[in-house]
Amino acid sequence: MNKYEKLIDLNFYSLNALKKTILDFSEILKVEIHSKSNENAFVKVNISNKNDEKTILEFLNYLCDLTIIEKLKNE
Amino acid sequence: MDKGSKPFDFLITEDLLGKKIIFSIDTNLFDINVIYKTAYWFTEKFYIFFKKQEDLIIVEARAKDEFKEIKLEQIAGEFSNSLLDFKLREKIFIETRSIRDSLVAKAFSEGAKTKDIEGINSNEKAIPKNFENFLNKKNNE
Repeated sequence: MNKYEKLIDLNFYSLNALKKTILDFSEILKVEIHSKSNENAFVKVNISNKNDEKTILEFLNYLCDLTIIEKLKNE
Repeated sequence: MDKGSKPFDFLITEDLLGKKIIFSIDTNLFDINVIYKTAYWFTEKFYIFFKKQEDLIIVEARAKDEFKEIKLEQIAGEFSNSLLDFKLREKIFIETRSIRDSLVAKAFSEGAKTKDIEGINSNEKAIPKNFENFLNKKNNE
């Protein structure tokens, strides 16, 4: 089984958006935060089949969208 | 992308999730909100991921399945053009803020002067009373 790892930069992405994304994807994707600091979160996802690859990309896009909405709503 | 890479150096590479293009945006040139706004319009067609590296934002982009015919270089080019569009919009937004604010303030202040239904005084002298109609009321006056 492949493991896809991504460093989520919390200077760019919102932590709340990350939490919400993980929660919203929890039914279809097993996402683990392995290390966390004020500046970044290390996210690991296991890829067991081809569908997971697309779901991970959807996960990252969803995180991007939620972050943007959160950051811009106060404008 | 190596440290110190110039902005908009494009790099096509592949990882577990497939082919992607990587390019950088200089945050001294483009405000972070401009980048957010641009990205928002791109997530519909493309998978976008960002990471920060000092003054650069590194963008990873891949086309979604239904837009696979779009070349990766084209995604980066379109993104770069959109950044300029949003930067210009932002600049105009800031430049015209005072005019826009005064127009909105004027519109609201005129709306506030209008009396609501409770404050309206009605002159009902012309309305006929018992056994009167409009015709004989007019004759009596």
